[in-house]
Amino acid sequence: MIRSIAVVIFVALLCGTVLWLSNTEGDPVTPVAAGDDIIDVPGYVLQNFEEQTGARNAVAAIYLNYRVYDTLFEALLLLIAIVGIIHFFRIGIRSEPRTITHQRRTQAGATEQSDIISRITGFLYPVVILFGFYVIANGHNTPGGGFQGGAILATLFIGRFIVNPINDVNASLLHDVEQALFVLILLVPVVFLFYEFSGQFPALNEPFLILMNVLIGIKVCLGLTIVVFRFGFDEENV
Amino acid sequence: MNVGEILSAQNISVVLFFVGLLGLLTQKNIVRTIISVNVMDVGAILFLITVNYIPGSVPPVSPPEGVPVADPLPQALMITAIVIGIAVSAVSLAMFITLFRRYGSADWETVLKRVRER
Repeated sequence: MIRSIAVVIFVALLCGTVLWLSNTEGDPVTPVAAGDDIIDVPGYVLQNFEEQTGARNAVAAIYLNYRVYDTLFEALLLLIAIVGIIHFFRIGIRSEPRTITHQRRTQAGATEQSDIISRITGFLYPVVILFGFYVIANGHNTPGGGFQGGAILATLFIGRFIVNPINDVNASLLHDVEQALFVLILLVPVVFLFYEFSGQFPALNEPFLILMNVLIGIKVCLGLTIVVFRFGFDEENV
Repeated sequence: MNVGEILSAQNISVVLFFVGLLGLLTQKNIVRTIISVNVMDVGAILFLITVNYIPGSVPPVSPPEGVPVADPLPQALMITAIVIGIAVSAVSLAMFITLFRRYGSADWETVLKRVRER
């Protein structure tokens, strides 16, 4: 009891200190000047991104062109997370003896679905596909992009799982496709940006952004689908 | 200082972060610990989104001339952070399921006791 009160007081003190520090007006910061040129990254990006990258959305210009390393390693991290999830479920099944008995999902429980949810979700499928691909393909011109559109497309599979929880999706095939897409996501910017085709052929900038967004979108969609199905069918699907 | 200044996004993000830290320090249930990590993650994302905020700025999508434009850099970085947060919580939940199957408990102390017994 005393310990938890002490912890609460300690955390409250820390929180109060950080709040006080972040709300105190400090000395006005003088911009660091190298020679006479003041380095203003947001100003530079906002002035130049349209002609340098061909995007109209500055966020897409940053994560697909200026800071493309972020996107590459983020895609790698998602891939590694999925490999880890598959691995953990596999060793979880293999471990004997089990100290807890699982109640398998009964056949009656699996088929007992709400009619309203099934019908409405079926009605929403084409809308979700259209919206997802719209968000992906217009990610360089409007708010959106590969990650957001991929998450929207993944709701398609999640809705299918809610309506009809039958494990007929070949998860390992999805995983292979995802790995192939990751190699493509690595190769396309490396070839296009690092060999400076971007400056030589400005007409290719916009197709490059669309291609990257589509690749990232499909990869994120497959990744989230694998995660959801792995959690949903973790007792049967190993 | 009026209410709007006290309840600014920056202050709320700091409080959220420390609520998550408090949960991390006090909760004995593993699922609640994972949720606390997620709350801390949300606090950090909210804080970094508010960095370099200019009041009255427009989104950085084909910005018009002469209007203050929001800084696109924190937004682009936070897309990455959100996906990383999802990956972290998914992996930790998968680890939790494995742990629960092996030791049959969601309580840190019980799990540690059973690990030592084996």
